[in-house]
Amino acid sequence: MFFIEAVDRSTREVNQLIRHAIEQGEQDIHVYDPRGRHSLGVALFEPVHLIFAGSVGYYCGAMGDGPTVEIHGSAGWSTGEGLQSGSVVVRGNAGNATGAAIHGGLVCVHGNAAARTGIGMVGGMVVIGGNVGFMSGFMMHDGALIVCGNASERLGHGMNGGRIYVAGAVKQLGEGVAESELASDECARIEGIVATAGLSHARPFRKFCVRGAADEPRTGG
Amino acid sequence: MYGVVGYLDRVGDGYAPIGDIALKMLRSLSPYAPDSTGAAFFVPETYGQVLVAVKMEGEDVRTLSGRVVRRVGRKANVVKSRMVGHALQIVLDRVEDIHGIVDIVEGMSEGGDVECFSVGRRLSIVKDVGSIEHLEAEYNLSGIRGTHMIGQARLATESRVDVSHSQPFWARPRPDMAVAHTGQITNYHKLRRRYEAQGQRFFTTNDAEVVGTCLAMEIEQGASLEEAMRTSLHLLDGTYAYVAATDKELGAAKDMMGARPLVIAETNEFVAVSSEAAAICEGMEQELVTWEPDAKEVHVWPTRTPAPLEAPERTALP
Repeated sequence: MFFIEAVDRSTREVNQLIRHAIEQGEQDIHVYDPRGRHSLGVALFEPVHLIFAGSVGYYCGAMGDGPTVEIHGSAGWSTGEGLQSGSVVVRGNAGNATGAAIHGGLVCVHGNAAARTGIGMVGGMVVIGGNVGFMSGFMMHDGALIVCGNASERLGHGMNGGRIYVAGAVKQLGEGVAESELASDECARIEGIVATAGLSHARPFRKFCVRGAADEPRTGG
Repeated sequence: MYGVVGYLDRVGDGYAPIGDIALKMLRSLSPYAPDSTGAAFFVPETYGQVLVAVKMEGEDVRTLSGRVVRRVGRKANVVKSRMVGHALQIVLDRVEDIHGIVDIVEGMSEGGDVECFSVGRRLSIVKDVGSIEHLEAEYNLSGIRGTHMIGQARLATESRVDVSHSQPFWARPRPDMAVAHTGQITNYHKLRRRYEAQGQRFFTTNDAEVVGTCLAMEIEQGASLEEAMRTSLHLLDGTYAYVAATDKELGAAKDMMGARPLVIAETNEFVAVSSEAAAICEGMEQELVTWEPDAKEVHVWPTRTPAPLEAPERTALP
């Protein structure tokens, strides 16, 4: 276990300490009081367990390949952007563009996420315990966006692949998006993913895809 | 462009350390926003006095400030006046017509460069070029107390760097109202021409100025702050988030696309808003749960209005 007190340190110093701890072979790294600093724990390519006790700013855990990042607080924009594998879990709320352009792995938010959640996803899974904002799933290519709460306007606008599952109300679908049938085995898989993430949903999931796309059930990741 | 902040005290007696909180919040934004810094404070009303701040830039500000104070003295009683930084701060009482005071000051110059940038019974805008540390050194922000405040740290992208173009802006022509924004208003010129045709004065080419006038004009026509803010989202094109405050409310709004950052932290003791969670955590010196509103969202919180200090009874001398 390695502990980092962030409050009197710059972003660069905190990130250098994280990297230093990884080089020393630390598996569990705890960062206290990050106080909304941007770009913490980015581009980590090791299967390390990194925990932030507090809120983080933009790009937390972005471009990772393998780490398990946990944020016990709120996160800013683009949390876990470009993730290849591993996971970024936010226990609080997240800002805009959560899980933007991820290729693989899991970005999970226990609270609400804001506008354009899962924008440009290429693969992997974005799982949100609460609601998502305006234009979530914008320009998705592949992967799965799972929302336990409600979705705002223009859900999946301009998507050309991938699946969106929403348990709550959908205010408005984006251009070229349609609801498609959710097979029972696929539904069970989604519910399993949600339960594994420690989340719950009040209503059954509905599935949204590109209008007219071949309706082949797949799992994310 | 850059970051906005806002803070509202929910429990105090009207003397919350809003200056100190503004200092800490803006300090966390200042590395990205070196051009200018400012805050609009709502301080307790004192004896019905009116606070006016007049921009003092250029040569011979001593002569100009003397002329301003003499002119104002014809319309109201000047309790005190002082030069601080690039501002002449005047405290007036026995003011019958606040707009008349503004007109007489701004009517002084033919070129239209004499500007009142803060007017109200409770509003005190403090803004200047440079960083928050400069503002603190010149204006002693940390000593200011009141109910709520909004502030901004600026990275100039589309208009010049001087005191006038600094934010927050007084929401002309309405006393005790101010706005600060981050982002771009793309139909700024069109709106400005419309308001100018209605007799409004503009002193800058900063698009934030039109946000204040837009809200003020809606409120003058009978809208509440919240209604005015909702209408403004349809009137103002572009990508922006802004904070607005009157003497009774603090508000925050996001554009139609949710394209600019704005986060909120709300507890029983206070409401804090900012473009960045870091400013909220640093301003309140604690880890807080923040959340980001969706596109088109408008939030307004009422303030506690402190009872105004009444002037002591003047008894006739025997």
